[in-house]
Amino acid sequence: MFRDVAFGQYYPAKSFIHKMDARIKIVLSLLYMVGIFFIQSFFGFGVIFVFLALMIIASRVPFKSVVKSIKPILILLVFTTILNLFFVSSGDVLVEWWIFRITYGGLIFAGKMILRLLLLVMGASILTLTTTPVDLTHAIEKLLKPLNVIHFPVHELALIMSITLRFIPSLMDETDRIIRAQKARGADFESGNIFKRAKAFIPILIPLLIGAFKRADELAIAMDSRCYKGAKGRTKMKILKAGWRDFVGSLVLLIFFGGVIALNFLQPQLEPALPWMFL
Amino acid sequence: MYLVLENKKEIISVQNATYIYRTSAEDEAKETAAKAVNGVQDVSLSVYEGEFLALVGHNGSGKSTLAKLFNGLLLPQSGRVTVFGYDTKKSDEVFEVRRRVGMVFQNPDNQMVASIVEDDVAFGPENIGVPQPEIVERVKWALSAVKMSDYADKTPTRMSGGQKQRVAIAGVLALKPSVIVLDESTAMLDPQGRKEVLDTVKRLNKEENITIILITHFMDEVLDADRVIALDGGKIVMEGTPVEIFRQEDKIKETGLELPIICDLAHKLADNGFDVDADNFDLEKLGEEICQSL
Amino acid sequence: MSIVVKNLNFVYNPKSPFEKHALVDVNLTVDDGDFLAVIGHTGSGKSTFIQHLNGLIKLQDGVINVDGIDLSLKKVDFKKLRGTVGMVFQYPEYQLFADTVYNDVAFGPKNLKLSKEEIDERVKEAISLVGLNFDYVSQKSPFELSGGEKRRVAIAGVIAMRPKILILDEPTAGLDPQGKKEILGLVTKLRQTTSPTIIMINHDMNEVARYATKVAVFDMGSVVFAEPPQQLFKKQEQLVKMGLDIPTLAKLRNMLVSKGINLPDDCLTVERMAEELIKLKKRRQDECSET
Repeated sequence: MFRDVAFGQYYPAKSFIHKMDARIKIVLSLLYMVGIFFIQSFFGFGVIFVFLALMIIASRVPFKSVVKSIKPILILLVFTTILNLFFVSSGDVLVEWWIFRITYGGLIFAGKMILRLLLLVMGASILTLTTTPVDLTHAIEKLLKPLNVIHFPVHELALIMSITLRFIPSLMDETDRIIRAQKARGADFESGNIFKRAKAFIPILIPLLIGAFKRADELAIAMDSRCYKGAKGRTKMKILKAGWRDFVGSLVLLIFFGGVIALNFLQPQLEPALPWMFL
Repeated sequence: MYLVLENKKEIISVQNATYIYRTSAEDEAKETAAKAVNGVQDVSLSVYEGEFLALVGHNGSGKSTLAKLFNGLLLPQSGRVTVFGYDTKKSDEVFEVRRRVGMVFQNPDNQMVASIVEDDVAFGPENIGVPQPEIVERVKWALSAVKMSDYADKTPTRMSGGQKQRVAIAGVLALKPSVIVLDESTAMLDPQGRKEVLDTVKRLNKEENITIILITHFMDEVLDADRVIALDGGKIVMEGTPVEIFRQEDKIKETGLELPIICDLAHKLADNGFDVDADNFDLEKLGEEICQSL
Repeated sequence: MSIVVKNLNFVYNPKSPFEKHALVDVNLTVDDGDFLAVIGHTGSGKSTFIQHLNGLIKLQDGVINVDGIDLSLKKVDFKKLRGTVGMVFQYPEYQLFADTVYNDVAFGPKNLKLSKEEIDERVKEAISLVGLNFDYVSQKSPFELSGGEKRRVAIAGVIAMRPKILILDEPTAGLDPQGKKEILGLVTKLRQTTSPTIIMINHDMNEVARYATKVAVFDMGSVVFAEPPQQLFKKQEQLVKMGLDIPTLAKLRNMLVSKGINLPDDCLTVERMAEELIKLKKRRQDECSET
């Protein structure tokens, strides 16, 4: 349902994670993503998978929705796997055919890459599944606020994002209407070569563009009329407040990642006793 | 009726204001050729505290231009517009004007900034730096005043035109204005939506004592107005109570407008020897009178 | 018979949580020369219905026959269908796109793959039919025109396809009284010239009462009534229950009839109502003086 883009992939629920401060969620997601790249061992990935599973349960988002987020990157996944399989060569040769050679090292490397990407995307999807784009916009505005010092237009950027979210459904509706109207006048968008088809879109694009400018114009007048004068002297209704949930959530993430990353440093001491941890 | 208004406080004063749209020299030549101007020319009028004023006229009569002069969205090329003594031409006073004169526009889709109703209503008070706890209160109050409290956390995507316009009214109300101008805000709505919007502003006029300036070309919407001003060719051509306006049937038609159906019939019957009140807008009453005079 | 619709059903987003039955067993016949008004409030299915008639919505279940074209067949000749049924959407001026009025109006005929001469002839005819001066506007950009003129150009773009059946979705929306009158006058003229059958969605019951020969009332996806306005607007209670308006004069007529004043059922315009009342008064006066 593209029409509800304001909610994006948002899965409405009232879970622990839904109630966390969007700013904290963004920061933790970034930490999580960086953390993933410090993990080298299958054991480490296993730990993070457990962490991810706990998060999904805590978010009350159906597991299916999280898995669905992998779909858009499937091609990337296959592509990197093939590259890694064939171009990383170390260790025993497992299969050899013509110029292709799959080695044990390549297989391990490819496997770890797949795990890394899966963890990355599924982790990020928890953020977007539990936070509305509107809240994300608010949070990004707050997080970027320090950049005001270097005159980075933080407020304007956030406003642009918010207005974009607001108008995408309207523009989608309008596109749909224009397509129907031109079809009713016998327009054909399906047949002909690529140039013909590209040309067939002119009767859609021009009215759409003109309509968008008209909207922009009217919105600007409406904003002026409601005393809009930029970021200066502006207050905000929604105050983001970090609460105990944010503290607990941060703690859990730090413990998991701290533990796994610590393994990297403790490798020389632990490997002789527990080699399986560092495969 | 007039005397009552005269005693009231004048809150908007338009003095010999002219605003003419010119896009090219060619246009200017056309203007002198044609009698009508695109915009308003040398218009003077007063708006009084608490009144329900209707501004009528056909498309292009200048009524929307006049509306935009009321809160400094357009500045008069000559003449003056003052609101509570603030001059719209002074750039340091225009925000004082805009927080007192709110405006609701025609297209319900193109005046909402945020994707969530309450965020949108908060936009105005956020702009003028109202402290956060008060914004929350104002938003709550504004949404309940237009009976949209249940939609506070919803997106406007699936709302009807009437509901969207009520949210737009709430967005204006949150600035605590003295005047709300509805610039053809009912033109794109279906009958149900029109009724919702009109009922809302009539209630705000009575209960909150907010001055309403309703701009429309539907004559049946002005029946309850305290005063009607008709524009044509950028000039005021009629002014009076709805009854006084509707008596001037020929002039209304000249102005490109139409009598409400009930008035039209009442006039025709009165002219043909029926004992009916020609100034009546009430269907029941007209029916009774017809029965008795048959 | 122009249009026959039998047992038409339509479901949006079938088999999903958003499933919505937009049309439920719709049966409707539109005869050649009918001026059909389609009424019903938002979401009643009227818009879904009219879009079926020129194939903009794919038929799911039921039978539609439009001027001999069977839409339930696997292969429908859409070119022929769209040349037969013209569709003017709401606010059609927002679909203008070409550099000149001429090219915009020619878009439809070009899509029908007509000869250059034929296109030229049709464009000229369409532009003058909608009441615009061909020599004055044809080489202008449509975006330079006034709102009312733009709407006429958009309608001309549909008329140039010479549709026998013309469908208009709220053609008077957003116009002032004068503009409304002009557009409805134009529709009446088109009915006498190019498009003898008119189907119009309209929320203004006074306009419906004045222009339509037949009214189809949609409620919750079904056609509840399909009859001439004179009969329909006697059913005041039922219509009000559906949340629909009654034309002002139909209300008055119903009121007077209930008080024992006999008025013909076509007193739906001010002129007719005044005429009948004046006649009645005269007759009663004559009766009085006789006795």
